[in-house]
Amino acid sequence: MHLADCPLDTDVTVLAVDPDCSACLRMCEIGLRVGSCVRVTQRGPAGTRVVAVGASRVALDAQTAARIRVAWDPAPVGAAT
Amino acid sequence: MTSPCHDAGGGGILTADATSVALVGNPNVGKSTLFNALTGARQSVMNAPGTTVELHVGTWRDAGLQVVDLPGTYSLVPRTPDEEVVRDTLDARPGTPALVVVDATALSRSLYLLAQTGAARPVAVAVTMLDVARSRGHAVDLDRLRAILGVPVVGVDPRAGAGLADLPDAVRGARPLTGVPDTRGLEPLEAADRVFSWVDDVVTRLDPPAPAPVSRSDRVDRALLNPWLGGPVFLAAMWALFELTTTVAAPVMGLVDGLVVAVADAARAGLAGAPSWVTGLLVDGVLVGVGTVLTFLPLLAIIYVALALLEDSGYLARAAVLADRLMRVVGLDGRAMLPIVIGFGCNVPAVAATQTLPTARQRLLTGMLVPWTSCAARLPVYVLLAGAFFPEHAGTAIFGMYVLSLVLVVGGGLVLRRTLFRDVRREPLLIVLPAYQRPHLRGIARSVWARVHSFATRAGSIIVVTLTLVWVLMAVPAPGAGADAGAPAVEDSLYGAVAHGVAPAFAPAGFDDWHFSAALLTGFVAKEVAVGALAQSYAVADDSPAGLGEHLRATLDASSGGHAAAAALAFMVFVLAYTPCLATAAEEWRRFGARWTLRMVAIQLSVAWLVAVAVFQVGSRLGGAA
Repeated sequence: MHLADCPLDTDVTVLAVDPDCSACLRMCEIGLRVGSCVRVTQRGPAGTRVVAVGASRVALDAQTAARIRVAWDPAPVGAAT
Repeated sequence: MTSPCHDAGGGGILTADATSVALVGNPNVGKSTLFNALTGARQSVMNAPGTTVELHVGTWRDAGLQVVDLPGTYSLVPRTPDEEVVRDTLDARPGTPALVVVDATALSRSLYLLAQTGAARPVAVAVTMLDVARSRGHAVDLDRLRAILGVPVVGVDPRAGAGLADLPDAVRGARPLTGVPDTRGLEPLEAADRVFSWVDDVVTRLDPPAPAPVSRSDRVDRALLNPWLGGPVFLAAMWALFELTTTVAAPVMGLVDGLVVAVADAARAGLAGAPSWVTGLLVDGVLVGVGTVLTFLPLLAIIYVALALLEDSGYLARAAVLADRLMRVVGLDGRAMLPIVIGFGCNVPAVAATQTLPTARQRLLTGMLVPWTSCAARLPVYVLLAGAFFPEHAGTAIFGMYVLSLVLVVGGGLVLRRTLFRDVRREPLLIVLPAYQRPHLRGIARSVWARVHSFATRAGSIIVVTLTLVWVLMAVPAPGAGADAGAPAVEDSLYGAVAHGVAPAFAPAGFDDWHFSAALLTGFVAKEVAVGALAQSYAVADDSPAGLGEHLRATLDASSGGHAAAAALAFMVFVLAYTPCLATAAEEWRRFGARWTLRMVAIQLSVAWLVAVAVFQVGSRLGGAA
C-alpha cells in the first residue's frame, strides 16, 4: 500500500521511499524515512495529503505520496528503527 | 539600515569568532521571531556575498554579540541557494558558535540539523514551540535533553519573551556535541542514515512520543484544506489582499499625497524670493521624490502586516498547498500566488511580497513576473485609450488587457524556466505545516518597521535621485530651443528631445510620435501620471478626455498610416508590458541587485516592444483603421 491510498487517521509504518525520487533525501530529513510511523490526517485538493510525522504535519502532493510504501502498524507515531 | 555585499567568502557575514553567533534552524520554527526579540530594531538586511539571498544581521545587546539570522534549512546538505548560503557561512567560520533553534513539535527533524551543525562547532540550543508540543501530548523534558546532548539547552517563547534572559549564558557555554557519528566521505543518504541513528537514540532516551492526537490545527485543516471548501476560502483571502492594495490603501495614500502637496505649497511660498531653478529643484525635484516614497510607505506597511499575519497564523503554508497545482505550471511554489495577486493592485508591495517564497531563485523568478501583472495605475491609461478608440467595446478592450497580463505572467514564467532559470527545479510538494497560532502583534510591528525602513532608505534614495534627474531634464532647454525666461515647454526641454529621439523606435508599433514616447518616459516614473503627461503635452486638461481623445486619434492616425485603433491597442499593450514604475524598479534593485534589475528592465522593454509591434502589425492588417 502507498501513502496515497491510506485511509484517514490510521497509523502506518513507512516501508520504503522510492529511491529515484529527487526529494528522497529531503523526505528523510523531514522525517518520512523507513521505519517512521505516520498517519494521514487530511486529504486536500488534487490528491494532496497531510501526514502527521511525530507532532508535526507535512503536506505532500499525490505523486510524492504515491512514492512512499507503507504498512499497517499500531506502533507509536515517531518511533523509528 | 542596509549594507552592501561583503567579501567573496561566506565568512564576511560572521565577524570575529568571539563576537558573533549564527542563528540556525528549520523553516518556521520561530527563528526569525527569536532574532527580532533578541535584536529589536538594531538590525540590518544584507545580501549574502554573490547571491540574492537576504541575511538579517543584528546586535544582541544583552549578550554583546552580533547575530546573523541564517535562512531556514532542514539540512546542511543544500538543495537550494539559500541552503548553500547557510552551509557556506558556517563553513567559513568553524569556530563561531551557533544558536540552534529546535522545534519541540518536530524534535527528530531539528536534532538532525543540530547534529550536522554541532558536530564540529560550539552549539547552544533554544527549544521553541514547547506549548504546542505539550498540547499535542509531546511534552519535551528539557533537563533530560540537556543531559543527553551535553550542551546548553534553553526553552524559549520568543513571542512572549520567555527564556530569553537565559540565552546569553547558554551561548557563552556553547560547545560541540559529542557522540555524533563522523559522516565525512559518506554519500548523502548514507550520511543521513548514520545521523538519524544518533537522532533516534536521543529521541528514544527522551521517551518515545505517544501517537499524535488529533490537534486543533488538524480540525481547522479539515475545513481550510478541504477539497471543496479550501479553494473558496483561499480565493477570499486573495481577494482581501487585493482589496488591501486598492480600496483600503488608496485613501491612506491619498491622505499622504495631500500632506505632501501642502508641504510643497508651503515650501514654494517660503522660497518665494529664491531663484526659480532653486525652487524647482528643491520642490518639484527633491520634495516630489521624497513625497513619492512617503506615499508608498502606508501601502507597504499594510501589505507587510497582512503578510506577517498570514505567515504568523500558519495560513501561508496552507495557501502554498492550495495554490501549488496552479503555480506548478510555471514551476513555482504555491506561495508565488500571493505576490502575483498583490501585483494586480500594486507592483511595489508585490515585489516585496516575494519574501514569502522559500528560495532566492524562486523569489527572483517571481520578482521578474510581477511587473507583468496589470496594476491599478495602468487602468487610467487603458480607460483613456479604450474610450477614445473603442467606445463601443471599451470594457472588452480593458478586459483583454487583464487576460493578456495573465498570458504574459504564465508565458513569461514558462520561457524564463527554460532559459535563465533552468536551475529552478520542479520540486515535489513537500511542505511542513506549522500549527495555527495567534499572531503576535509586537513581533509583527517590529518586522514591519524594519522592512518599511529598509524600503524608505534603499529604494527611497533611488527614487529621489531619479525624480530629481527627471526634473533637471524637464527644466533644461534642449540645444537650439529658445532661451525664454522660466521653464521651457516639455517639447523644448531636454526631456522632450529625448522623447523625440526615441519616438522612431515605435514606428513598427504605429505610435512613433513624441507625445506618446514622452508619456511612456513619464510612465516609467509612475504609470498614474502618464495620462497627465499626455494631456500636458497637448496642453489640454486631463479631466477632459473627449478633447484629449480627439488629439490622440489625430496623432495616431498620422503616425500609423490610418490604423489608429491598432496603434492605440499596441500602445496599451506596451504600457502593460514595459517596466511598471520607478518605485517597482527601485524595490527590485533593493531585493535583487542592480544587475538583475537592469536585466529585468531590458527584458520588459524588449517584450513590450515585440508584443506591441505584433499587435499593430496584425491589427493593421486585419483592418484596424479608426
